Amino acid sequence: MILMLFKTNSPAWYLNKSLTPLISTPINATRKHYADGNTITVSLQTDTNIAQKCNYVYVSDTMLQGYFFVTDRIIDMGGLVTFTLQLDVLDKYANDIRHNMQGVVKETDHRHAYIPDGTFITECREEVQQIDYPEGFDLGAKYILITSGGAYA
Amino acid sequence: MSQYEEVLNISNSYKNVPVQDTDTLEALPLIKRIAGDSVKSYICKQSAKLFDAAAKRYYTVSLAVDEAITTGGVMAYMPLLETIGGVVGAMGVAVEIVDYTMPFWVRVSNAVLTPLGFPEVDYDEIKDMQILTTIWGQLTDDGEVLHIAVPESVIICISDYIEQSQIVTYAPGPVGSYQTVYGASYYNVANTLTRVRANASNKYASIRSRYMGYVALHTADIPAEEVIRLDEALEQYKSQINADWGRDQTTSTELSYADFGKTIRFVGGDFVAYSQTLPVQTTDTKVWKPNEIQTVGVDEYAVKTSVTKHIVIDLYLYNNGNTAFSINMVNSSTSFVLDNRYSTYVDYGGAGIPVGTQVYPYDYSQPFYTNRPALHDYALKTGDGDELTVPILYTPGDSIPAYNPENTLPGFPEETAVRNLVEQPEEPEVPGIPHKLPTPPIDGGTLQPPFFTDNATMLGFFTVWNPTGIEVGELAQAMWSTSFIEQLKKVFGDPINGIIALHKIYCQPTITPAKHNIQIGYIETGVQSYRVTEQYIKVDCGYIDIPEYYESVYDYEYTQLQLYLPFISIVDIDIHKVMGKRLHVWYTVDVLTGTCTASVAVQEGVLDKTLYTFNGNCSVSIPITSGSFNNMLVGLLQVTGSIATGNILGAASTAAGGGLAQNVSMSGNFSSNAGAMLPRKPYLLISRRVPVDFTRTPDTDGHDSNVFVNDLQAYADSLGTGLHRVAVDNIKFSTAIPVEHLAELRQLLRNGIVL
Repeated sequence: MILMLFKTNSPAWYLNKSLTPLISTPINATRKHYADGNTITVSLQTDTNIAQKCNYVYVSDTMLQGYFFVTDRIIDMGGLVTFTLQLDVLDKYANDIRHNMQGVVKETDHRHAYIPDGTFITECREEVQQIDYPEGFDLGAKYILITSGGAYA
Repeated sequence: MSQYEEVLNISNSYKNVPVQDTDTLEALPLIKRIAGDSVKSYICKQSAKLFDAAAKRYYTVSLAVDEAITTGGVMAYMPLLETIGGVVGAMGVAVEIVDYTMPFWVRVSNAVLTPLGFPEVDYDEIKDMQILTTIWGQLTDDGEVLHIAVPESVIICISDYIEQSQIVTYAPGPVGSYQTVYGASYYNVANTLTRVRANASNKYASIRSRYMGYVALHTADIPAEEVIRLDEALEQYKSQINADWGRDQTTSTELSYADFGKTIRFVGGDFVAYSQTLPVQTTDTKVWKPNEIQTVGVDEYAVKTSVTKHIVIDLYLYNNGNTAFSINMVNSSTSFVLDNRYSTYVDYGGAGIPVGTQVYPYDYSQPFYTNRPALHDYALKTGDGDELTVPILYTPGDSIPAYNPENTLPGFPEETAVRNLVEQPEEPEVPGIPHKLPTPPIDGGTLQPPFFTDNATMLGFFTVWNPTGIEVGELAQAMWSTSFIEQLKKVFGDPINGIIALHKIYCQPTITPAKHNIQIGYIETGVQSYRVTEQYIKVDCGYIDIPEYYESVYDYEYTQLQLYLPFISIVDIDIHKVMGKRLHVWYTVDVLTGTCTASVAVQEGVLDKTLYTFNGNCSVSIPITSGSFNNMLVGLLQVTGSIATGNILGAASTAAGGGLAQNVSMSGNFSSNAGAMLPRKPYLLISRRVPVDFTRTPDTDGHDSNVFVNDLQAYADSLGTGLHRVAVDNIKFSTAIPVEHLAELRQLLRNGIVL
């Protein structure tokens, strides 16, 4: 397995991420664990400073290729680095997203007030309307006195 | 400036400008865009409301759609058909057409449901509005349905008129030739269609013109062979449209014999009717209501003499809910107005275009260029209950051949489905409860449920009094006199034992007509006061009508309702049970103990259906000894302790519908003394979600929402320069995406990405 180590400041939701290479040549790594289709764990020997900066990795292997986010890293004293990598699905299917996908685009603006139903993350607040009932208890008090005996005449 | 004002200003600027002057048409795209948005948003709103009704029937929209797709069951189609019917109805097409042309509904069903049925889509994740968006998209995209729906739109259908004006611009000519566009002569239909087809990029105009020709087919005097010819011509034209627009011709179910010979029932918009018969005249009265689109069939204004005429009806629904009509009968040969008595224009004394005025066909179709003032300025406003008596010159079925099922063209398998749809049993009526009931009085009146009458105040072991504050003071003075105490001691040992309770309540008890001498035991106190004759008192708080705010599912799923009940708490009310209804609240108070129960009921008809009951205590004890004061304090501490431990009634429960953010406690239990220090009238608290973006940036002109995209990159490019974060839902890939990646992709796309 060959890795290229990058640093990216682009948010995860950017399809085109700007990358800064941290190493000039690919580096060999050992795949330790293949959790599912999205997550793998790899070990490699590299400079600890680079390992600290690295948050984005390109993986080339017989089984999988693509860009991964570094979601966890363990750096041993001897310089052995263990990365937990999460597949960047946006990058992997970038072309499909651009051209081979149908969907409904939604935005919020003044003309199409999008009512927040939880489908999308939008800022929202809660408006409370108060409607009084027309009647209720009296403002003035009435005294109730209960005495013993005094059979009703 | 509002959108409507913007349109109106532009409209006014075009009043006296010849439409042939293309230089003046530069603003038309703007009008079209605005009008398109208005219509779209209005229809979305209407359809959301109707879809909500459908959703209620099937618990969720997804369930209804799922059932429709997976089982193909007709029942599941019904709510969707209702929705589409509502959409179409909102667009000006008579819903009552269903009574006459059932194939119409088959077409709607095919056009709307079939495209929804692509099996790859995971409908479980489609939200209600997205379904509506999809339906709207199908409606706007599918010309086979639009020929009925959109061109007949009466909702500020400005874009439609603009398209019509473009026809005139494209092919100017003598007046007589224009008439063929509107179906005055069926022999020229083919030519008409050919000419319009040259403007085939103009979708609306093409469809509209075709529909006009379609109308002409209903004239009774057309020989059968001519009908066939026309049918073929229209089929040919339809094929051309399909070819031009890349439609699949096999999906078309346009124009069958099942449609012919039924009725002339084209409604809304500006139409040209054509007939050569003289039917029997009857009369009918229509009652107009605000915000309700009336379905006015041209057949109701049909021809009265044998002279060939066409009827021009302009029907407008303004955004303030008003409607306006211009109904003018025009001689097809001379283009002179023959009759205008049914017009509601006020600019001509309420009589429409003056009789004898020569009008031009394009006057009918475009309000922006006209020799009369703009419609918006002179619309007669119809109000609630206004009546408009119109003559019905023939009754469908009298002068029009009856429907003959043998004429139905082959390839109509939906007939069975439609028949099943028709035969669905009506909802059973509840015996003894009429559907329409008088509006009940606000104070409840006699419509409340029967009140129990058992009464413990008459038993004789004790006496209940309703003294005034002064009388209480007099009683205290009397009791603490030396002679009185001595008498009491003989009876009770401790004089104060003669007083069982003294407390305040905040409602008027039922009392004797006259005062009586207050007795303690058999000892007269010399103080006069009223006796209480009834143990229970009803305190009716009246009703509140709870109207729908969004008029959609959002009134149910994302709205929360709470009710403040004096002396009890703030309680949660299930919005699903009370929305759109009248909520009645009343208390029953036990004057002996102060215990009160609040009943919360939905009024339907003459009955109150009690949904919730709560209890509390509305009395404030007055200490008459140190012992009773101590007991009162202990009681209050117990209440406070329960609040401190969180064991309170008022802690708000889970959010209604799960759509709102997590609640916080609104109140504790404020019975008795605490309740007396709070408002004494119930009130409703309705919480709704409002997007902050909407109010914070009112001038921001954003991009379209709910746009169905096939190529996201192309869409993003169309947004122009800058960073655009687009959120996409209801996604469907044309390539295979592994399941383990699909869920994450969907979530990312929903939250928005930057390409």
